[in-house]
Amino acid sequence: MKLTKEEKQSLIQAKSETDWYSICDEIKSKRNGIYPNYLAREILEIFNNKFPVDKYKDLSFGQIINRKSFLNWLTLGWLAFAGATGGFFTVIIRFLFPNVLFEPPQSFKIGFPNDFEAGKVDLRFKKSHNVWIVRDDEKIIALSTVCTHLGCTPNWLEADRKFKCPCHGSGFRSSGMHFEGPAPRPLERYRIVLSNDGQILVDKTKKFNYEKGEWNRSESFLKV
Amino acid sequence: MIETLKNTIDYLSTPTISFTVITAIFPFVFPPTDWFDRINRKLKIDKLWTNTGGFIQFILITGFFVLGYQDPNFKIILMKGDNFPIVLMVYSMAFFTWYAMKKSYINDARLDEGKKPMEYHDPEDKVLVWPDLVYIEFICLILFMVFLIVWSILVPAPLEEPANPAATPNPSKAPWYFLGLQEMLVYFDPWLAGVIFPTLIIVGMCAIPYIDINKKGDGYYSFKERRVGYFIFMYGWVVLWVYLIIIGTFFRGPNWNFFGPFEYWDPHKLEVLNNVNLSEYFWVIGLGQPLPSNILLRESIGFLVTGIYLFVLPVLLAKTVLKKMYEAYGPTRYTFLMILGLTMLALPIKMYLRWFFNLKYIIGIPEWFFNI
Ligand code: FES
Repeated sequence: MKLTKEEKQSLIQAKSETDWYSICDEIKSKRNGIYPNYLAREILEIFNNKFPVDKYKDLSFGQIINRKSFLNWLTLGWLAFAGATGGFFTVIIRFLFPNVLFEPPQSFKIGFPNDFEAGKVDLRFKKSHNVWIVRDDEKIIALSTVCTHLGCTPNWLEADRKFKCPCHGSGFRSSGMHFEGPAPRPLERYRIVLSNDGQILVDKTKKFNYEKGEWNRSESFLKV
Repeated sequence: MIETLKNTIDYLSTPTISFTVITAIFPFVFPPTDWFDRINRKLKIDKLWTNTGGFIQFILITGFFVLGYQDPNFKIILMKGDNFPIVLMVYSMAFFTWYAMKKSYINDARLDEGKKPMEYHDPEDKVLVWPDLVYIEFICLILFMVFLIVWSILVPAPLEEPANPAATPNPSKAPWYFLGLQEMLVYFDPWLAGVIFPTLIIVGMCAIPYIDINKKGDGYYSFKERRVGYFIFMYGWVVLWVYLIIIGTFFRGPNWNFFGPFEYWDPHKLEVLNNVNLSEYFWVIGLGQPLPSNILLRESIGFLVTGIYLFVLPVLLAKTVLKKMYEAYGPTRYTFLMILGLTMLALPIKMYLRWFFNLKYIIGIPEWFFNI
Protein backbone atom coordinates (compact mmCIF):
# COMPACT_ATOMS: atom_id res chain seq x y z
CA MET A 1 0.00 0.00 0.00
CA LYS A 2 1.31 3.41 -0.89
CA LEU A 3 1.57 6.34 1.52
CA THR A 4 -1.67 8.11 2.16
CA LYS A 5 -1.95 11.90 2.08
CA GLU A 6 -2.08 12.17 5.87
CA GLU A 7 0.94 9.97 6.31
CA LYS A 8 2.88 12.05 3.87
CA GLN A 9 1.89 15.23 5.65
CA SER A 10 2.86 13.90 9.05
CA LEU A 11 6.22 12.77 7.69
CA ILE A 12 6.90 16.16 6.19
CA GLN A 13 5.97 17.89 9.40
CA ALA A 14 7.97 15.66 11.73
CA LYS A 15 9.94 17.89 14.07
CA SER A 16 12.99 15.81 14.84
CA GLU A 17 14.56 12.54 13.75
CA THR A 18 13.14 10.66 16.74
CA ASP A 19 9.75 11.91 15.74
CA TRP A 20 10.38 10.82 12.20
CA TYR A 21 11.24 7.28 13.18
CA SER A 22 8.21 6.85 15.38
CA ILE A 23 6.03 7.97 12.47
CA CYS A 24 7.80 5.46 10.26
CA ASP A 25 7.17 2.70 12.76
CA GLU A 26 3.53 3.64 12.85
CA ILE A 27 3.34 3.44 9.07
CA LYS A 28 4.90 0.01 9.14
CA SER A 29 2.69 -1.30 11.86
CA LYS A 30 -0.36 -0.24 9.86
CA ARG A 31 0.91 -2.59 7.14
CA ASN A 32 1.63 -5.53 9.42
CA GLY A 33 5.32 -4.68 9.50
CA ILE A 34 5.77 -5.13 5.77
CA TYR A 35 8.03 -2.51 4.26
CA PRO A 36 8.22 -3.05 0.52
CA ASN A 37 10.58 -1.36 -1.88
CA TYR A 38 8.30 1.21 -3.38
CA LEU A 39 7.28 2.37 0.07
CA ALA A 40 10.89 2.70 1.12
CA ARG A 41 11.60 4.72 -1.99
CA GLU A 42 8.78 7.12 -1.22
CA ILE A 43 9.78 7.60 2.37
CA LEU A 44 13.44 8.00 1.51
CA GLU A 45 12.62 10.75 -0.94
CA ILE A 46 10.80 12.73 1.70
CA PHE A 47 13.61 12.13 4.14
CA ASN A 48 16.24 13.40 1.74
CA ASN A 49 14.27 16.56 1.09
CA LYS A 50 13.73 17.15 4.76
CA PHE A 51 17.17 16.45 6.15
CA PRO A 52 19.68 17.18 3.42
CA VAL A 53 22.93 15.49 4.31
CA ASP A 54 26.06 17.50 4.72
CA LYS A 55 28.63 15.05 3.48
CA TYR A 56 31.60 17.06 4.63
CA LYS A 57 30.46 17.84 8.14
CA ASP A 58 32.42 15.19 9.99
CA LEU A 59 35.52 15.34 7.88
CA SER A 60 38.50 16.81 9.71
CA PHE A 61 42.20 16.49 9.14
CA GLY A 62 43.66 14.93 12.28
CA GLN A 63 46.83 16.43 13.54
CA ILE A 64 48.82 18.47 11.09
CA ILE A 65 52.42 17.41 10.50
CA ASN A 66 54.99 20.11 9.97
CA ARG A 67 57.31 20.29 6.99
CA LYS A 68 60.39 18.92 8.71
CA SER A 69 58.87 15.77 10.07
CA PHE A 70 57.09 15.27 6.77
CA LEU A 71 60.42 15.28 4.94
CA ASN A 72 61.86 12.90 7.50
CA TRP A 73 59.08 10.46 7.03
CA LEU A 74 59.31 10.78 3.28
CA THR A 75 63.01 9.96 3.27
CA LEU A 76 62.50 7.03 5.54
CA GLY A 77 59.67 5.72 3.41
CA TRP A 78 61.64 6.04 0.21
CA LEU A 79 64.69 4.35 1.69
CA ALA A 80 62.60 1.44 2.89
CA PHE A 81 60.90 1.19 -0.49
CA ALA A 82 64.18 1.33 -2.41
CA GLY A 83 65.72 -1.27 -0.11
CA ALA A 84 62.81 -3.66 -0.51
CA THR A 85 62.64 -3.29 -4.28
CA GLY A 86 66.40 -3.57 -4.64
CA GLY A 87 66.46 -6.76 -2.61
CA PHE A 88 63.57 -8.16 -4.55
CA PHE A 89 65.20 -7.54 -7.92
CA THR A 90 68.55 -8.89 -6.76
CA VAL A 91 66.87 -12.14 -5.83
CA ILE A 92 64.94 -12.25 -9.11
CA ILE A 93 68.02 -11.62 -11.21
CA ARG A 94 69.98 -14.23 -9.31
CA PHE A 95 67.16 -16.63 -10.04
CA LEU A 96 67.61 -16.14 -13.77
CA PHE A 97 71.05 -17.72 -13.71
CA PRO A 98 71.00 -21.50 -13.41
CA ASN A 99 73.07 -23.25 -10.76
CA VAL A 100 74.23 -25.93 -13.15
CA LEU A 101 74.42 -25.45 -16.86
CA PHE A 102 74.30 -28.46 -19.08
CA GLU A 103 74.53 -27.85 -22.79
CA PRO A 104 75.65 -30.51 -25.21
CA PRO A 105 78.31 -29.36 -27.67
CA GLN A 106 76.87 -27.55 -30.67
CA SER A 107 78.89 -29.56 -33.17
CA PHE A 108 79.45 -33.27 -32.85
CA LYS A 109 80.40 -36.36 -34.80
CA ILE A 110 77.77 -38.94 -35.53
CA GLY A 111 79.70 -41.77 -37.23
CA PHE A 112 80.55 -42.81 -40.77
CA PRO A 113 78.26 -42.37 -43.77
CA ASN A 114 77.89 -46.14 -44.07
CA ASP A 115 76.33 -46.28 -40.61
CA PHE A 116 73.22 -44.79 -42.14
CA GLU A 117 70.89 -46.75 -44.32
CA ALA A 118 69.43 -45.15 -47.40
CA GLY A 119 65.77 -44.29 -47.07
CA LYS A 120 65.87 -44.39 -43.28
CA VAL A 121 65.27 -41.73 -40.69
CA ASP A 122 67.76 -42.08 -37.88
CA LEU A 123 66.29 -41.29 -34.49
CA ARG A 124 69.40 -41.96 -32.38
CA PHE A 125 70.40 -38.32 -32.00
CA LYS A 126 66.94 -37.01 -31.32
CA LYS A 127 67.18 -37.20 -27.58
CA SER A 128 70.80 -36.15 -27.11
CA HIS A 129 71.18 -33.50 -29.79
CA ASN A 130 67.72 -32.76 -31.17
CA VAL A 131 68.50 -33.77 -34.74
CA TRP A 132 67.22 -36.39 -37.10
CA ILE A 133 69.68 -37.79 -39.62
CA VAL A 134 67.97 -38.70 -42.88
CA ARG A 135 69.70 -40.48 -45.71
CA ASP A 136 68.17 -40.93 -49.12
CA ASP A 137 69.70 -42.21 -52.34
CA GLU A 138 72.07 -39.36 -52.92
CA LYS A 139 72.53 -37.39 -49.71
CA ILE A 140 72.48 -37.23 -45.94
CA ILE A 141 70.82 -34.33 -44.12
CA ALA A 142 70.52 -33.25 -40.50
CA LEU A 143 67.03 -32.04 -39.63
CA SER A 144 66.12 -29.94 -36.62
CA THR A 145 63.50 -31.58 -34.38
CA VAL A 146 61.73 -28.30 -33.68
CA CYS A 147 58.33 -27.94 -35.32
CA THR A 148 58.26 -24.68 -37.25
CA HIS A 149 54.76 -23.90 -36.05
CA LEU A 150 55.17 -23.47 -32.32
CA GLY A 151 58.16 -25.58 -31.37
CA CYS A 152 56.86 -28.99 -30.26
CA THR A 153 58.83 -32.10 -31.17
CA PRO A 154 57.14 -34.10 -33.95
CA ASN A 155 57.20 -37.89 -34.03
CA TRP A 156 58.46 -39.94 -36.93
CA LEU A 157 55.73 -42.30 -38.12
CA GLU A 158 57.47 -45.03 -40.06
CA ALA A 159 54.25 -46.47 -41.48
CA ASP A 160 53.08 -43.18 -42.96
CA ARG A 161 56.64 -42.01 -43.65
CA LYS A 162 56.14 -38.59 -42.15
CA PHE A 163 56.94 -36.50 -39.12
CA LYS A 164 53.72 -35.67 -37.34
CA CYS A 165 53.49 -33.01 -34.68
CA PRO A 166 51.33 -33.94 -31.67
CA CYS A 167 50.46 -30.34 -30.81
CA HIS A 168 48.47 -29.04 -33.76
CA GLY A 169 48.94 -31.77 -36.31
CA SER A 170 51.56 -30.38 -38.68
CA GLY A 171 53.09 -33.01 -40.95
CA PHE A 172 56.53 -33.06 -42.60
CA ARG A 173 58.03 -35.39 -45.14
CA SER A 174 61.33 -37.09 -44.41
CA SER A 175 63.02 -34.33 -46.40
CA GLY A 176 61.68 -31.86 -43.84
CA MET A 177 59.14 -30.43 -46.27
CA HIS A 178 55.87 -29.36 -44.64
CA PHE A 179 52.70 -30.57 -46.28
CA GLU A 180 49.85 -30.60 -43.78
CA GLY A 181 48.67 -28.70 -40.74
CA PRO A 182 49.52 -25.17 -39.77
CA ALA A 183 53.34 -25.19 -39.95
CA PRO A 184 54.28 -22.33 -42.29
CA ARG A 185 57.77 -23.51 -43.27
CA PRO A 186 59.72 -26.75 -43.58
CA LEU A 187 61.92 -28.09 -40.78
CA GLU A 188 65.31 -26.43 -40.57
CA ARG A 189 68.46 -28.24 -41.67
CA TYR A 190 71.83 -28.04 -39.96
CA ARG A 191 75.28 -27.84 -41.48
CA ILE A 192 76.62 -31.31 -42.19
CA VAL A 193 80.17 -32.07 -43.45
CA LEU A 194 82.76 -34.83 -43.46
CA SER A 195 85.52 -34.33 -40.92
CA ASN A 196 89.15 -35.32 -41.44
CA ASP A 197 88.79 -38.77 -39.93
CA GLY A 198 85.95 -39.63 -42.32
CA GLN A 199 83.21 -39.21 -39.75
CA ILE A 200 80.19 -37.03 -40.30
CA LEU A 201 80.19 -33.75 -38.40
CA VAL A 202 76.92 -31.99 -37.63
CA ASP A 203 77.19 -28.32 -36.76
CA LYS A 204 74.10 -26.82 -35.18
CA THR A 205 75.38 -23.27 -35.16
CA LYS A 206 74.64 -22.96 -38.87
CA LYS A 207 71.09 -23.38 -40.11
CA PHE A 208 69.73 -23.70 -43.62
CA ASN A 209 66.17 -22.54 -44.26
CA TYR A 210 64.24 -23.64 -47.28
CA GLU A 211 62.20 -20.45 -47.56
CA LYS A 212 65.43 -18.49 -47.94
CA GLY A 213 66.53 -20.83 -50.71
CA GLU A 214 69.38 -22.28 -48.68
CA TRP A 215 68.70 -25.96 -49.14
CA ASN A 216 70.93 -26.26 -52.17
CA ARG A 217 73.92 -24.62 -50.51
CA SER A 218 76.95 -26.83 -50.35
CA GLU A 219 77.07 -27.72 -46.66
CA SER A 220 73.36 -28.13 -46.08
CA PHE A 221 73.61 -31.76 -47.18
CA LEU A 222 76.28 -34.39 -47.60
CA LYS A 223 76.58 -36.08 -50.97
CA VAL A 224 77.15 -39.83 -50.78
CA MET B 1 21.00 -50.32 -31.12
CA ILE B 2 23.48 -48.66 -28.75
CA GLU B 3 26.18 -49.29 -31.31
CA THR B 4 24.29 -47.50 -34.05
CA LEU B 5 23.64 -44.64 -31.69
CA LYS B 6 27.33 -44.42 -30.89
CA ASN B 7 28.30 -44.58 -34.52
CA THR B 8 25.82 -41.85 -35.31
CA ILE B 9 27.23 -39.68 -32.55
CA ASP B 10 30.77 -40.36 -33.79
CA TYR B 11 29.69 -39.42 -37.26
CA LEU B 12 27.85 -36.30 -36.18
CA SER B 13 30.73 -35.10 -34.07
CA THR B 14 33.09 -34.68 -37.01
CA PRO B 15 33.79 -30.98 -36.81
CA THR B 16 32.56 -30.27 -40.31
CA ILE B 17 29.14 -31.57 -39.37
CA SER B 18 28.85 -30.66 -35.71
CA PHE B 19 30.22 -27.17 -36.16
CA THR B 20 27.92 -26.48 -39.09
CA VAL B 21 24.89 -27.87 -37.29
CA ILE B 22 25.56 -25.84 -34.16
CA THR B 23 26.14 -22.68 -36.18
CA ALA B 24 22.95 -23.23 -38.14
CA ILE B 25 20.84 -23.93 -35.06
CA PHE B 26 22.29 -21.08 -33.05
CA PRO B 27 20.21 -18.15 -34.37
CA PHE B 28 17.05 -20.14 -33.74
CA VAL B 29 17.99 -20.72 -30.12
CA PHE B 30 19.11 -17.14 -29.50
CA PRO B 31 17.06 -15.31 -32.14
CA PRO B 32 18.71 -12.05 -33.19
CA THR B 33 15.85 -10.85 -35.42
CA ASP B 34 12.07 -10.96 -35.49
CA TRP B 35 12.04 -13.62 -38.17
CA PHE B 36 14.16 -16.02 -36.14
CA ASP B 37 12.13 -15.14 -33.08
CA ARG B 38 8.90 -16.14 -34.77
CA ILE B 39 10.31 -19.51 -35.79
CA ASN B 40 11.83 -19.93 -32.38
CA ARG B 41 8.39 -19.54 -30.83
CA LYS B 42 6.66 -21.64 -33.46
CA LEU B 43 9.04 -24.52 -32.85
CA LYS B 44 8.68 -23.93 -29.12
CA ILE B 45 12.43 -23.61 -28.69
CA ASP B 46 11.78 -20.91 -26.13
CA LYS B 47 10.43 -23.66 -23.90
CA LEU B 48 14.07 -24.62 -23.32
CA TRP B 49 14.20 -21.82 -20.82
CA THR B 50 11.44 -23.11 -18.58
CA ASN B 51 11.86 -25.46 -15.66
CA THR B 52 10.88 -28.44 -17.79
CA GLY B 53 13.26 -27.35 -20.51
CA GLY B 54 16.08 -27.03 -18.02
CA PHE B 55 15.31 -30.47 -16.68
CA ILE B 56 15.38 -31.96 -20.16
CA GLN B 57 18.73 -30.31 -20.87
CA PHE B 58 20.08 -31.74 -17.65
CA ILE B 59 18.83 -35.24 -18.52
CA LEU B 60 20.31 -35.06 -22.03
CA ILE B 61 23.75 -33.98 -20.85
CA THR B 62 23.78 -36.54 -18.08
CA GLY B 63 22.52 -39.20 -20.49
CA PHE B 64 25.41 -38.46 -22.82
CA PHE B 65 27.97 -38.78 -20.08
CA VAL B 66 26.39 -41.95 -18.67
CA LEU B 67 26.31 -43.49 -22.12
CA GLY B 68 29.86 -42.34 -22.66
CA TYR B 69 30.99 -43.84 -19.39
CA GLN B 70 29.81 -47.27 -20.57
CA ASP B 71 32.04 -47.01 -23.60
CA PRO B 72 35.63 -48.16 -23.04
CA ASN B 73 37.17 -45.56 -25.35
CA PHE B 74 35.23 -42.60 -24.04
CA LYS B 75 35.68 -43.72 -20.46
CA ILE B 76 39.45 -43.27 -20.75
CA ILE B 77 39.01 -39.69 -21.83
CA LEU B 78 36.29 -38.98 -19.32
CA MET B 79 38.23 -40.35 -16.38
CA LYS B 80 41.37 -38.30 -16.97
CA GLY B 81 41.86 -36.04 -13.97
CA ASP B 82 42.40 -33.16 -16.34
CA ASN B 83 39.02 -33.52 -17.99
CA PHE B 84 36.85 -33.42 -14.92
CA PRO B 85 36.66 -29.59 -14.95
CA ILE B 86 35.30 -29.78 -18.46
CA VAL B 87 32.45 -31.98 -17.38
CA LEU B 88 31.75 -29.44 -14.64
CA MET B 89 32.01 -26.66 -17.18
CA VAL B 90 29.45 -28.27 -19.47
CA TYR B 91 26.96 -28.44 -16.62
CA SER B 92 27.60 -25.01 -15.18
CA MET B 93 27.56 -23.37 -18.57
CA ALA B 94 24.23 -24.96 -19.41
CA PHE B 95 22.87 -23.99 -16.02
CA PHE B 96 23.84 -20.34 -16.10
CA THR B 97 22.67 -19.89 -19.66
CA TRP B 98 19.37 -21.48 -18.76
CA TYR B 99 19.01 -19.38 -15.62
CA ALA B 100 19.69 -16.08 -17.35
CA MET B 101 17.49 -16.92 -20.31
CA LYS B 102 14.64 -18.02 -18.08
CA LYS B 103 14.70 -14.77 -16.13
CA SER B 104 15.04 -12.79 -19.34
CA TYR B 105 12.06 -14.42 -20.96
CA ILE B 106 9.91 -13.79 -17.91
CA ASN B 107 10.94 -10.13 -17.88
CA ASP B 108 10.43 -9.76 -21.62
CA ALA B 109 6.91 -11.11 -21.29
CA ARG B 110 6.20 -8.70 -18.42
CA LEU B 111 7.54 -5.75 -20.36
CA ASP B 112 5.32 -6.68 -23.28
CA GLU B 113 2.34 -6.52 -20.95
CA GLY B 114 3.44 -3.08 -19.85
CA LYS B 115 4.54 -4.22 -16.42
CA LYS B 116 7.83 -3.49 -14.72
CA PRO B 117 10.55 -6.17 -14.74
CA MET B 118 10.72 -8.66 -11.87
CA GLU B 119 13.77 -7.08 -10.34
CA TYR B 120 11.88 -3.84 -9.78
CA HIS B 121 9.67 -5.44 -7.15
CA ASP B 122 11.82 -8.38 -6.30
CA PRO B 123 13.66 -7.64 -3.08
CA GLU B 124 10.62 -6.90 -0.94
CA ASP B 125 12.82 -7.88 1.96
CA LYS B 126 16.05 -6.06 1.36
CA VAL B 127 18.94 -7.46 3.37
CA LEU B 128 22.12 -5.79 4.46
CA VAL B 129 25.50 -6.46 2.91
CA TRP B 130 26.96 -6.89 6.33
CA PRO B 131 26.21 -9.34 7.84
CA ASP B 132 23.71 -11.11 5.59
CA LEU B 133 25.49 -11.13 2.23
CA VAL B 134 29.00 -11.42 3.59
CA TYR B 135 27.93 -14.40 5.68
CA ILE B 136 26.51 -16.16 2.66
CA GLU B 137 29.69 -15.47 0.74
CA PHE B 138 31.77 -16.71 3.59
CA ILE B 139 29.82 -19.95 3.82
CA CYS B 140 30.13 -20.44 0.05
CA LEU B 141 33.84 -19.91 0.33
CA ILE B 142 34.19 -22.55 3.00
CA LEU B 143 32.05 -25.04 1.12
CA PHE B 144 34.07 -24.46 -2.03
CA MET B 145 37.33 -24.96 -0.17
CA VAL B 146 36.01 -28.24 1.19
CA PHE B 147 35.02 -29.26 -2.31
CA LEU B 148 38.45 -28.40 -3.73
CA ILE B 149 40.25 -30.26 -0.97
CA VAL B 150 38.10 -33.36 -1.33
CA TRP B 151 38.52 -33.24 -5.08
CA SER B 152 42.28 -32.92 -4.89
CA ILE B 153 42.43 -35.87 -2.50
CA LEU B 154 40.15 -38.10 -4.53
CA VAL B 155 41.54 -37.28 -7.97
CA PRO B 156 45.32 -37.05 -7.89
CA ALA B 157 46.84 -34.39 -10.09
CA PRO B 158 47.83 -35.91 -13.42
CA LEU B 159 51.58 -35.79 -12.97
CA GLU B 160 53.60 -37.35 -15.72
CA GLU B 161 57.23 -38.30 -16.12
CA PRO B 162 59.90 -35.56 -15.93
CA ALA B 163 59.86 -33.17 -18.84
CA ASN B 164 61.92 -34.31 -21.77
CA PRO B 165 62.30 -32.11 -24.82
CA ALA B 166 62.85 -35.13 -27.03
CA ALA B 167 59.60 -36.84 -26.14
CA THR B 168 56.46 -34.78 -26.57
CA PRO B 169 53.40 -36.68 -25.36
CA ASN B 170 51.06 -37.57 -28.17
CA PRO B 171 48.60 -35.86 -28.28
CA SER B 172 50.06 -32.87 -26.48
CA LYS B 173 47.24 -30.98 -24.89
CA ALA B 174 47.30 -27.58 -23.26
CA PRO B 175 45.53 -27.16 -19.91
CA TRP B 176 41.81 -27.49 -20.47
CA TYR B 177 41.06 -23.77 -20.34
CA PHE B 178 43.55 -23.17 -23.17
CA LEU B 179 42.27 -25.87 -25.48
CA GLY B 180 40.22 -23.30 -27.37
CA LEU B 181 43.43 -21.42 -28.07
CA GLN B 182 45.18 -24.59 -29.12
CA GLU B 183 42.35 -25.32 -31.51
CA MET B 184 42.73 -21.83 -33.02
CA LEU B 185 46.43 -22.52 -33.47
CA VAL B 186 45.54 -25.35 -35.83
CA TYR B 187 44.19 -22.81 -38.27
CA PHE B 188 46.35 -19.77 -37.69
CA ASP B 189 49.94 -18.75 -37.34
CA PRO B 190 51.08 -18.43 -33.70
CA TRP B 191 51.36 -14.64 -33.73
CA LEU B 192 47.69 -14.40 -34.67
CA ALA B 193 46.16 -17.24 -32.67
CA GLY B 194 48.52 -16.88 -29.74
CA VAL B 195 48.95 -13.12 -29.45
CA ILE B 196 46.52 -11.01 -31.45
CA PHE B 197 43.36 -13.04 -30.91
CA PRO B 198 43.67 -13.47 -27.14
CA THR B 199 44.44 -9.76 -26.80
CA LEU B 200 41.45 -8.85 -28.93
CA ILE B 201 39.22 -11.20 -26.94
CA ILE B 202 40.16 -9.48 -23.69
CA VAL B 203 40.10 -5.96 -25.11
CA GLY B 204 36.82 -6.74 -26.83
CA MET B 205 35.16 -7.91 -23.66
CA CYS B 206 36.36 -4.79 -21.83
CA ALA B 207 34.94 -2.74 -24.69
CA ILE B 208 31.44 -4.23 -24.60
CA PRO B 209 29.97 -1.56 -22.28
CA TYR B 210 31.42 1.19 -24.47
CA ILE B 211 30.17 -0.33 -27.69
CA ASP B 212 26.72 -1.34 -26.49
CA ILE B 213 25.29 1.83 -25.03
CA ASN B 214 21.68 0.74 -24.99
CA LYS B 215 20.38 1.85 -21.59
CA LYS B 216 17.45 -0.53 -21.66
CA GLY B 217 17.99 -3.76 -19.85
CA ASP B 218 20.31 -2.23 -17.29
CA GLY B 219 19.80 -3.75 -13.89
CA TYR B 220 17.47 -6.53 -14.92
CA TYR B 221 17.62 -9.67 -17.03
CA SER B 222 16.39 -9.12 -20.53
CA PHE B 223 16.96 -10.81 -23.84
CA LYS B 224 14.89 -8.66 -26.15
CA GLU B 225 16.53 -5.35 -25.36
CA ARG B 226 19.88 -6.50 -26.72
CA ARG B 227 19.25 -9.66 -28.65
CA VAL B 228 21.81 -8.99 -31.40
CA GLY B 229 24.53 -8.35 -28.86
CA TYR B 230 23.46 -11.39 -26.90
CA PHE B 231 23.54 -13.51 -30.01
CA ILE B 232 27.00 -12.36 -31.05
CA PHE B 233 28.42 -12.79 -27.58
CA MET B 234 26.88 -16.22 -27.09
CA TYR B 235 28.16 -17.36 -30.47
CA GLY B 236 31.66 -16.20 -29.65
CA TRP B 237 31.55 -17.71 -26.21
CA VAL B 238 29.61 -20.93 -26.59
CA VAL B 239 30.65 -21.96 -30.08
CA LEU B 240 34.01 -20.35 -30.68
CA TRP B 241 35.35 -20.90 -27.20
CA VAL B 242 33.51 -23.50 -25.15
CA TYR B 243 32.75 -25.76 -28.07
CA LEU B 244 36.35 -25.59 -29.23
CA ILE B 245 37.42 -26.61 -25.73
CA ILE B 246 35.05 -29.55 -25.93
CA ILE B 247 36.45 -30.50 -29.34
CA GLY B 248 39.97 -30.19 -27.99
CA THR B 249 39.18 -32.38 -25.00
CA PHE B 250 36.98 -35.09 -26.34
CA PHE B 251 37.57 -35.17 -30.07
CA ARG B 252 41.29 -34.63 -30.54
CA GLY B 253 43.50 -37.68 -30.34
CA PRO B 254 47.03 -38.74 -31.29
CA ASN B 255 48.74 -36.60 -33.89
CA TRP B 256 46.01 -34.07 -33.25
CA ASN B 257 43.65 -36.00 -35.50
CA PHE B 258 39.90 -35.92 -35.07
CA PHE B 259 38.25 -38.85 -33.36
CA GLY B 260 34.58 -39.32 -32.51
CA PRO B 261 34.01 -39.62 -28.77
CA PHE B 262 33.50 -43.38 -28.98
CA GLU B 263 36.27 -44.06 -31.43
CA TYR B 264 39.50 -45.81 -30.48
CA TRP B 265 42.47 -43.43 -30.36
CA ASP B 266 44.52 -45.10 -33.02
CA PRO B 267 47.92 -43.39 -33.32
CA HIS B 268 48.20 -44.68 -36.88
CA LYS B 269 44.91 -43.24 -38.06
CA LEU B 270 45.77 -41.77 -41.39
CA GLU B 271 44.21 -38.58 -42.60
CA VAL B 272 45.39 -37.52 -45.97
CA LEU B 273 45.77 -33.81 -46.04
CA ASN B 274 47.71 -31.66 -48.35
CA ASN B 275 47.51 -28.07 -47.38
CA VAL B 276 47.98 -25.41 -49.98
CA ASN B 277 48.46 -21.68 -49.70
CA LEU B 278 46.20 -19.29 -51.52
CA SER B 279 49.14 -18.07 -53.59
CA GLU B 280 49.71 -21.61 -54.87
CA TYR B 281 46.03 -21.98 -55.66
CA PHE B 282 46.13 -18.79 -57.65
CA TRP B 283 49.45 -19.00 -59.50
CA VAL B 284 50.17 -22.69 -59.83
CA ILE B 285 46.74 -24.27 -60.03
CA GLY B 286 44.78 -21.31 -61.40
CA LEU B 287 47.21 -19.74 -63.86
CA GLY B 288 49.45 -22.74 -64.40
CA GLN B 289 52.70 -20.92 -63.84
CA PRO B 290 55.39 -21.14 -61.13
CA LEU B 291 55.16 -18.91 -58.06
CA PRO B 292 56.57 -15.45 -58.76
CA SER B 293 59.84 -14.89 -56.97
CA ASN B 294 58.85 -11.44 -55.77
CA ILE B 295 57.23 -12.02 -52.40
CA LEU B 296 54.78 -9.16 -52.60
CA LEU B 297 53.68 -10.11 -56.07
CA ARG B 298 53.35 -13.73 -54.99
CA GLU B 299 51.10 -12.81 -52.08
CA SER B 300 49.29 -9.93 -53.78
CA ILE B 301 46.11 -11.95 -54.14
CA GLY B 302 46.14 -12.74 -50.39
CA PHE B 303 46.66 -9.09 -49.53
CA LEU B 304 43.81 -8.18 -51.83
CA VAL B 305 41.42 -10.66 -50.22
CA THR B 306 42.40 -9.63 -46.68
CA GLY B 307 42.16 -5.96 -47.60
CA ILE B 308 38.70 -6.37 -49.02
CA TYR B 309 37.58 -8.34 -45.99
CA LEU B 310 38.93 -5.90 -43.41
CA PHE B 311 38.61 -2.51 -45.07
CA VAL B 312 36.14 -2.60 -47.94
CA LEU B 313 33.54 -4.88 -46.44
CA PRO B 314 32.79 -2.69 -43.38
CA VAL B 315 32.35 0.36 -45.59
CA LEU B 316 30.04 -1.51 -47.93
CA LEU B 317 28.02 -2.80 -45.00
CA ALA B 318 27.77 0.68 -43.52
CA LYS B 319 26.36 1.93 -46.80
CA THR B 320 23.87 -0.89 -47.28
CA VAL B 321 22.69 -3.49 -44.80
CA LEU B 322 23.98 -1.93 -41.63
CA LYS B 323 23.13 1.64 -42.54
CA LYS B 324 20.84 2.16 -39.57
CA MET B 325 23.36 0.69 -37.20
CA TYR B 326 26.13 2.87 -38.60
CA GLU B 327 24.04 5.97 -38.00
CA ALA B 328 23.17 4.92 -34.48
CA TYR B 329 26.72 3.93 -33.55
CA GLY B 330 28.77 6.65 -35.19
CA PRO B 331 32.02 6.02 -37.03
CA THR B 332 34.33 5.26 -34.08
CA ARG B 333 32.10 2.81 -32.34
CA TYR B 334 31.15 1.20 -35.63
CA THR B 335 34.79 0.75 -36.63
CA PHE B 336 35.66 -0.90 -33.36
CA LEU B 337 32.68 -3.19 -33.56
CA MET B 338 33.65 -4.17 -37.08
CA ILE B 339 37.28 -4.86 -36.22
CA LEU B 340 36.26 -7.06 -33.32
CA GLY B 341 33.44 -8.75 -35.20
CA LEU B 342 35.39 -9.46 -38.34
CA THR B 343 38.35 -10.94 -36.46
CA MET B 344 35.95 -13.14 -34.56
CA LEU B 345 34.33 -14.26 -37.78
CA ALA B 346 37.72 -14.95 -39.29
CA LEU B 347 38.00 -18.06 -37.14
CA PRO B 348 35.03 -20.00 -38.53
CA ILE B 349 35.84 -18.75 -42.03
CA LYS B 350 39.37 -20.06 -41.80
CA MET B 351 38.17 -23.34 -40.33
CA TYR B 352 35.84 -23.92 -43.26
CA LEU B 353 38.48 -22.94 -45.79
CA ARG B 354 40.81 -25.48 -44.23
CA TRP B 355 38.22 -28.23 -44.10
CA PHE B 356 36.85 -27.84 -47.57
CA PHE B 357 39.70 -26.42 -49.62
CA ASN B 358 42.73 -27.51 -47.60
CA LEU B 359 43.69 -23.88 -47.57
CA LYS B 360 46.64 -23.26 -45.33
CA TYR B 361 47.37 -19.55 -45.40
CA ILE B 362 45.69 -16.69 -47.21
CA ILE B 363 48.85 -14.66 -46.96
CA GLY B 364 51.85 -16.88 -46.44
CA ILE B 365 55.22 -15.19 -46.09
CA PRO B 366 57.35 -17.55 -44.02
CA GLU B 367 60.36 -15.41 -44.94
CA TRP B 368 59.00 -12.64 -42.72
CA PHE B 369 57.12 -14.84 -40.26
CA PHE B 370 53.95 -13.25 -41.54
CA ASN B 371 51.14 -15.67 -42.25
CA ILE B 372 47.43 -15.09 -42.09
S1 FES C 1 53.82 -26.95 -32.74
FE1 FES C 1 53.87 -28.47 -34.26
S2 FES C 1 51.93 -28.20 -35.11
FE2 FES C 1 51.93 -26.59 -33.70
